[in-house]
Amino acid sequence: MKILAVDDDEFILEIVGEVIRTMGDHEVVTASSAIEAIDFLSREPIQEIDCFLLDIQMPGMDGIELCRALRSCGAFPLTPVVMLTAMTDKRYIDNAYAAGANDYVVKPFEVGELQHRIRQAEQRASLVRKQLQDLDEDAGSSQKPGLLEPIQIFDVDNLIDYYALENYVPLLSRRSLFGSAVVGFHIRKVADIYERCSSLSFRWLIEDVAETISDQLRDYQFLMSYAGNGTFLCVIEEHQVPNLRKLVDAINLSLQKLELQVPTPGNQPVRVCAGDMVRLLGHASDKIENALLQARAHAERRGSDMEARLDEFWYLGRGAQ
Amino acid sequence: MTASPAALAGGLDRINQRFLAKLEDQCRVLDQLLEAGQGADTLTSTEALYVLHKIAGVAGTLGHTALGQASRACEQQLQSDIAVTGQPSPAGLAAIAEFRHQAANLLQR
Repeated sequence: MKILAVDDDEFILEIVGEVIRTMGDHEVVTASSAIEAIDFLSREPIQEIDCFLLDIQMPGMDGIELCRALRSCGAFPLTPVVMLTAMTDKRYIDNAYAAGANDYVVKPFEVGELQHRIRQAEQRASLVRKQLQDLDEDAGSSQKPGLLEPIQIFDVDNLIDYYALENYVPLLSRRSLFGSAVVGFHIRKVADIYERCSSLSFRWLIEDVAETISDQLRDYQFLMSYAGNGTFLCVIEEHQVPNLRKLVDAINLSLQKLELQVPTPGNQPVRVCAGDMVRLLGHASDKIENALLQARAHAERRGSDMEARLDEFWYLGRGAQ
Repeated sequence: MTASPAALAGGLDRINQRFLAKLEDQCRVLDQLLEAGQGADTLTSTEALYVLHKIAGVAGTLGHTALGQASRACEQQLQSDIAVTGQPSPAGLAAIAEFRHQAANLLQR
């Protein structure tokens, strides 16, 4: 990999360089400020970077702004960005992920920890190369991504990729920031809708639902991600969790107003349901990922229960709840 | 080309020597602040904060855990002092004195 490390601390840049040299055939380039990094990336020929390591607190442009700039410039939409920072407040963590960071390492770090994160970033970089290739190929073909695949969505506020969410939740746990909860939102009858959709119309549906959920949560501190299978996972401050029934109603009303041109069973409007809120507190740190799985399972089960009850109502004459 | 773990240890050792040499210079900023006490101006306090932030980020990785913790505690206290009055509080000065103590111990070794 070619790694660009940006930090105003010369010692950190040197340590990073030494550590990475022990890890295989990587090349490290360094910049001591965000502006210097942008300058480097703007040079001809265009610089191919496979991974960024960014400090947050730097004079002038900070690492979060730099991360946002990297994501919005179009050249690095999926390239792994690892924040390497002493900033431990949750607002820095949230802002970094919302700006497009995939991982977050707190200084001072153990050498082994940095090596582990870089190996993860390397795996991610290789996956990203394949995804970008697939995206290019998809643009020219009608091959549909699998229903269970977490589709990459860009330009939706506070929406991060699933890999980043899987790093974010354990980080909250490691920093003892347990005051968050996970809620899953699931597109009802998504398998039936998926069968009827083209590749592009399914992608648009997922993007529209993501945008709608994000918009309805705009007054809250949250991060969300598309997990595949029509399910979105949203991590929100526990004390802020809205009334889920009202929230789902508002999301469904917004979706109806969008008049989505999606082939649904019986031409029913696209609707979502929410699962139960899963608190991070109470999950052991090493099993914190279970909170994501639980939230996902809750939302998907709620969706199938609702459809089953509706079937009973229509076909068996039982009361629907 | 991949470097060996021994090369990594050697590399980190060289960085550590330079870190300690610089620490001596950085302590002067904190000594100025201690000398000025609660009358220190915001500029000196802010400069001290910057120095502490950097030391806190690196010291632990180079194995100086106590120094790293002292600089982090000092940084947090001074940050809150600057936000409130722009000058170090008695608690802030005590935290700087503790940091200086840790740094002096390390530099004497």
